Amino acid sequence: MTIKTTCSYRLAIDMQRHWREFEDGIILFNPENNDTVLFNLVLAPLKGAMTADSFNADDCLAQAVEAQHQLILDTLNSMEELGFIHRIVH
Amino acid sequence: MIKGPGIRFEIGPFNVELKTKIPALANNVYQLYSHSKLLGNNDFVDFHISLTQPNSIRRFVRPQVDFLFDQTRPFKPLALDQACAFFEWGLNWAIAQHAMQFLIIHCAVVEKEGRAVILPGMPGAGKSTLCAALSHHGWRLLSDEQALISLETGLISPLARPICLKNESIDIIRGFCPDAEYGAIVRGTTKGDLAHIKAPTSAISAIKQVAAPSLIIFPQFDNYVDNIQVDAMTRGIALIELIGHCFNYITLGDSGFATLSDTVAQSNCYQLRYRDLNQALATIEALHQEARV
Repeated sequence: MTIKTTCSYRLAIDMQRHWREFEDGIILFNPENNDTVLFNLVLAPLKGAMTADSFNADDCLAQAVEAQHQLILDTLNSMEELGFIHRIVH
Repeated sequence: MIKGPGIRFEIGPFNVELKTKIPALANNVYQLYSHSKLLGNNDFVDFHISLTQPNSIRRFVRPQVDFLFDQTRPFKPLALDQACAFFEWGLNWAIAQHAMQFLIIHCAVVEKEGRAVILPGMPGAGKSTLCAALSHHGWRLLSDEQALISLETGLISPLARPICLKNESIDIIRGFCPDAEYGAIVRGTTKGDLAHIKAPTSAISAIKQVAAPSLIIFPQFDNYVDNIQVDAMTRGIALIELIGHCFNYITLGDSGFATLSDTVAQSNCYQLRYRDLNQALATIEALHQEARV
């Protein structure tokens, strides 16, 4: 499963209840399976983009410098694999 | 009384009823819980516990003891001479399985000036030994086994039960804490030799005083380390590490995540590797003072 820049995604968790920021990363909680994962701090500035009903990879990449783009794509990939974001199928 | 209608007494936020006709267990409980508040026959009971000898050949040949919880047997029987330990282990289980108003972490917890130090660790890490030492040197014992963190308030409720020591720790604490009062030594358990020391009276007197989490220290006794080693932990890593020490994080779902996150957010987190108890106590005191600022 690879993040596709042409696809739209939505956050599968409640950002108010399942997203916690610490000095070393963002911890997300998946209530579907209780998975609790520490993600890189690169996720922090993407929070605004992810609150939208739908977002795509480009929306996220726009929040960061080019040097972080691969890390962002890898993070989004992990989030989709772990069920924290879902691909919107039209 | 313990052999008839049973004895009802308060253990932290719980009311426990114990029935047994096993003299060694009755004597041990009377000794180790002598300062706990006794309850009346009409008081509500959270945990109904009985330890009985089976009505079989195992009453006489290699005698055994059964642990009953609300008249059910959640465990296989143990050797009769392990009855004292069986009661403590069984009560640990009862609390971990049923007290869902709390996030329960497998750790020792002590308190000073209203702020709690959480000491999670795998078996053999030395958390109970450290807990015993701290409890007899100016710190209030909240628990040597389980931190009860309220889902509603985020504050930690004391249990102040006897502290379980194993093997070499029994003699180490006997020397380090000469005023500690020991119960019976139980030999040959799966964990080796065990003994429980009575919770200090000051801990029982303050049984209703909750405390806010302030420090999370993962201790590790290491006989080969020359000087004490203290490493700060980032909170994200500490939270992930703590999940493995929780009894009911999965069961609680959202509430468990929220409570654990809040606990970590308000705590400074460290790893502590030590050989010398005096050094460990001094270091924990220093970290406690630093956390006040």
